[in-house]
Amino acid sequence: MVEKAEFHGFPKLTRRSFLKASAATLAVAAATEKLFAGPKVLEALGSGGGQSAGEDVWIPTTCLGCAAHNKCSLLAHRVNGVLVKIEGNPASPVNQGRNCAKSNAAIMTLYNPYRVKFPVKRTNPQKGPGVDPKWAEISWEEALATVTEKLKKVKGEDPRQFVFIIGHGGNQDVDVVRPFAAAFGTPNVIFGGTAAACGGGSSPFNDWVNGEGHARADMRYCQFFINLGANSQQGAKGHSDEIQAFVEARERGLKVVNVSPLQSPSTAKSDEWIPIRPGTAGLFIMAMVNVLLHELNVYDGQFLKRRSNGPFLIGEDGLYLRGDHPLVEDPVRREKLGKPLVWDPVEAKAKAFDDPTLKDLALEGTYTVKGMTCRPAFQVLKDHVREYTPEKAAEMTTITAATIRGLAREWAEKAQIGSTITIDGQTFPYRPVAIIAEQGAKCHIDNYMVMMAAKLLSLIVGAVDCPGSAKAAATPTMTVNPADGVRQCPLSYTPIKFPPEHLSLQDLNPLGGYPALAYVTMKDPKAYGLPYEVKVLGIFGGNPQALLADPDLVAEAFKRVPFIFAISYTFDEPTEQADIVLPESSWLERYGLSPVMPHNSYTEAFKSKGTAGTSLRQPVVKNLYNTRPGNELLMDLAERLGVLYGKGGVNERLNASLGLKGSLALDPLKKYTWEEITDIRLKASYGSDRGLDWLKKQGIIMKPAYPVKQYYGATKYPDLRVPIYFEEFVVFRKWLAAELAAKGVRRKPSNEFVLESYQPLPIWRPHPEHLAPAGFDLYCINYKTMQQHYGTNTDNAWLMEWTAAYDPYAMRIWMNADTARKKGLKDGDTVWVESFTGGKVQGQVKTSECVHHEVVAIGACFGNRSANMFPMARLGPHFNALNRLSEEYLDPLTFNIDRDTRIKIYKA
Amino acid sequence: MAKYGMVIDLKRCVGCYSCVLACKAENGTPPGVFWNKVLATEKGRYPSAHIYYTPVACMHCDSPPCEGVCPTGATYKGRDGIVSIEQEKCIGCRYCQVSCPYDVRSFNERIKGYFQEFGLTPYEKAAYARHKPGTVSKCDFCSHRLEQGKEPACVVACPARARHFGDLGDPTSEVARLIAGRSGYRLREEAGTQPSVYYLPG
Repeated sequence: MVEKAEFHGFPKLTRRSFLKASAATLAVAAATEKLFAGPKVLEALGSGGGQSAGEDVWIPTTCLGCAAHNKCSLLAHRVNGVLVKIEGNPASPVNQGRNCAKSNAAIMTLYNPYRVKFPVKRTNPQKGPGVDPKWAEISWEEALATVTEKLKKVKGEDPRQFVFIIGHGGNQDVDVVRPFAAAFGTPNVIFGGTAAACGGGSSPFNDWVNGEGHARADMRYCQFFINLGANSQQGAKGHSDEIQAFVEARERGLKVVNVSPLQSPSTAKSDEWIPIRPGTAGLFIMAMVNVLLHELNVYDGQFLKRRSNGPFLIGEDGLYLRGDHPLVEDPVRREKLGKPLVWDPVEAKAKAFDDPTLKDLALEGTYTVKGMTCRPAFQVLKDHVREYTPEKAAEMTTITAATIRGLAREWAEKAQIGSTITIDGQTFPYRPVAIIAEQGAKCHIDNYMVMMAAKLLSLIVGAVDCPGSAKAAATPTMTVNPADGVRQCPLSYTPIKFPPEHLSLQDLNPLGGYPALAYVTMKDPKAYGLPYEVKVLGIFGGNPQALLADPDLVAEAFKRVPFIFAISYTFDEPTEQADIVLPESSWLERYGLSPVMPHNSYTEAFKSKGTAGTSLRQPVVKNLYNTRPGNELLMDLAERLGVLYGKGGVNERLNASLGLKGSLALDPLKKYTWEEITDIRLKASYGSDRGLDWLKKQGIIMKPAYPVKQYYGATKYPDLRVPIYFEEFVVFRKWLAAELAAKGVRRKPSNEFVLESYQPLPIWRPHPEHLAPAGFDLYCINYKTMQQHYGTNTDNAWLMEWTAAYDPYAMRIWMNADTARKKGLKDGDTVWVESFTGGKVQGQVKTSECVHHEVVAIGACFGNRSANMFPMARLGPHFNALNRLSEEYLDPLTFNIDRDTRIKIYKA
Repeated sequence: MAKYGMVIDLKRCVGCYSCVLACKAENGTPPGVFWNKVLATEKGRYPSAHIYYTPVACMHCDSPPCEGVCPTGATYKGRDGIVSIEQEKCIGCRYCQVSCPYDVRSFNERIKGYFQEFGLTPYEKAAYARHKPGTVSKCDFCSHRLEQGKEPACVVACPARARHFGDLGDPTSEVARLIAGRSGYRLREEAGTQPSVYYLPG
């Protein structure tokens, strides 16, 4: 579409008028008067400058402004001791000199005077959201001694009474947390911020099929990209290199279809937008598979026969039919098993899948083998999707059957089954179609089902881990299950424990999952069978009160804990409930290392600069305040607690977690600074002459590029089969059913529902929000913005000012214009949004043509409640207040929150 | 002498606001002032609707109405094509602000900073020294960077590489070729202001 922009002036909305209007909706009245001011937490600004007259330097460092896995390398400009500008470092093959809004604005985060500037203790015994703790400055000695004393007592009684909450690991330098918790003796490390709300619980599924926890469309060669639920140019992954890959692909001719309830800001660049009802993505994809297999009869037979378990015979019990001999130990199923059988149609008999005498492998048909009726897995899949017709899907997804058929046809054509491509002399299968399901699509109770469906759509046309397809982010790593020749399931079944030991009740979930329930049990551990109370809570960066769900419940849970300490940069909600706060240095004041790899494509930049490397984070200014790096604070505490040195101590555990061996292993009896450890880590990876001194000047180091063959699973593992039938889940279901019965465990909403979630092929069941009571007539969803990402930048003055004044959507209740008209609502109306689970938020309506007619959307993670944060952080509606933290609203397999909800909307 | 101009490729712009913040950081503008903005606008009716983004800053017009209405000569069009404001001459009458068809001029009120109770941060102290209260300000194509041989901050930051900067007077320059080859156009041509900022259709 060739289209010209028109200019009709800027929105007649000044910052002042917006703030005034928004202020009326704030829960925290304190912020209404002076939004750029606020309670005086602490007095003066730090010196931070003035010294070093005449200085003018650029210092390489690495961003921590978002949770992207590939961080942008940066250059920080310091003049007379003051950070005046941040630009991208051209030496990085990731961002290649570019940088996004967040790092451009990071100056304001560094100089944010609402930071925690020195150790403090609370003087107000009252705790609660927005209740000023009346912080008082204390010495480091008092702060550390108080924390040590509390921890020592707990360690002596029962170390499990100490719970450590950390944020998104990729967004912090938190390397010491897990070694510290392990050395201390608590299993309770809670990955506590966005984790359970990000849909990432299904990451092992990407690992299973693609060989990496994250999958991406191979932008360089993709021709047809179905984007499901990712604000891909502005969300978590919307960093500089993904934007570049995307726009260049579109320039080359990539067609992008965005299937989403809203046209999220970045997917404005889609060629087609197909609005879908929330929580129905799995159904939509299975209808496409139905069309491919039952109407178009299109699939990649060669791929399915040789590279998948499609020909494996499945018995009526859902399990592989196996030969009697030889028996091989299966590490996933944990027994000696015969080889799976396939049907040789030429000789009309069943043989082992790897029998050298196989003339052909049947993908379809029904056979009788060893007296059992069986079908090849591909036939089972085909029969399974028969009921998922486009007509049936249309009813629930609101996408017409004709549209689904059209997309399936296009998918089939553009997959170019049978074609090859040669890159750098290496020939690959070429299947330039990709579907990626991200948070919006998969963060529901059917997280795994959506992932499975998306993988199947790709797998049946052979579009996996080859140029143009969805593939592992960076190079895949896969192992083969010796018992069946299929990619070994990376999910490991852990027998459930009842009574549970882990606060999050993860012990009831054999496949692990996220610790969302920890805050539910924290309120009353005994009620959940936990044999201990929570007596000390440590917080390092995570903000479950803002980023998860049910903020009041989380705040209430925190109130029950007798002692809380926080390692914090800002007085966010969890910090506000702490008793002692240890001030952390900003990422612009400390050391850290970030990996660099070709996440989006094997680009020329990666080919020439290298495909695996490390980007250094280093102080670009002297500490502005009396703060320290969190990693060092933990080592200090470990020393005081007697768990730093010797066997099982933090140092020894760091050697294991950081991979430090031989002469470069940490001396278990020595105390290190994080700067020293950073130096050792670099030398261990890159050699003795490539330590910190070298990297301080260069900023980034890359190992030579691996050949393009290594980048794609199709050529790195040419003989490995990937699953199109996930038989392990049949085994897991059987085990879990037996365990639940034997141990008398009752899961919610019911054991039957939980067991039904273990499926070898995806199913679709209505979600709680689809079954909401009458009157809750709309859905409410959440999306990320580029500038705030999720919750990390709500205290950045520039980003918040820009968003409040000029982003038409992010801080509003974004709703369909027709729907609003029918409800008598118009732009700017103040409304209540009330969810069927009892949550309520207030905000202002923004009517739009770019959102599904049954949906309202609330962006990012606004509406902080803490009394001592930068006051603009309080602006905007807080989406997460609409959702409940309760087992029935979690995906039974991953404990991911079902993120959308059903609501009613009315004028306030 | 080069006649500077900019080309913004709307097919590439994803509305990430990087240029907005790069400009903010480079020029250290006070609260309420954004020299460079990105407008999000909708076209079409649901469900055949979409959002599009238009970055807008000073157009450095060849016939700049702001220059004509300035009573003191503070606003002037330079030989390099850049429309500048001489802060010392500006009396803050704001006629230029009213005359601008693109609404890209800002007025520096008394500069208070972002964190009033705390005074100015070290960054703000350094940055606001360049902004005189009571005067009008706007994008100057990062003249101070051009003097150092660097491109404007928004061009360098753009992750989508949607911005191009160069000599409009040289038909072989990248900007001139993009305008000719991809039907570059200007906003509000009908205003007759002859902007030096061109857009490539999205």
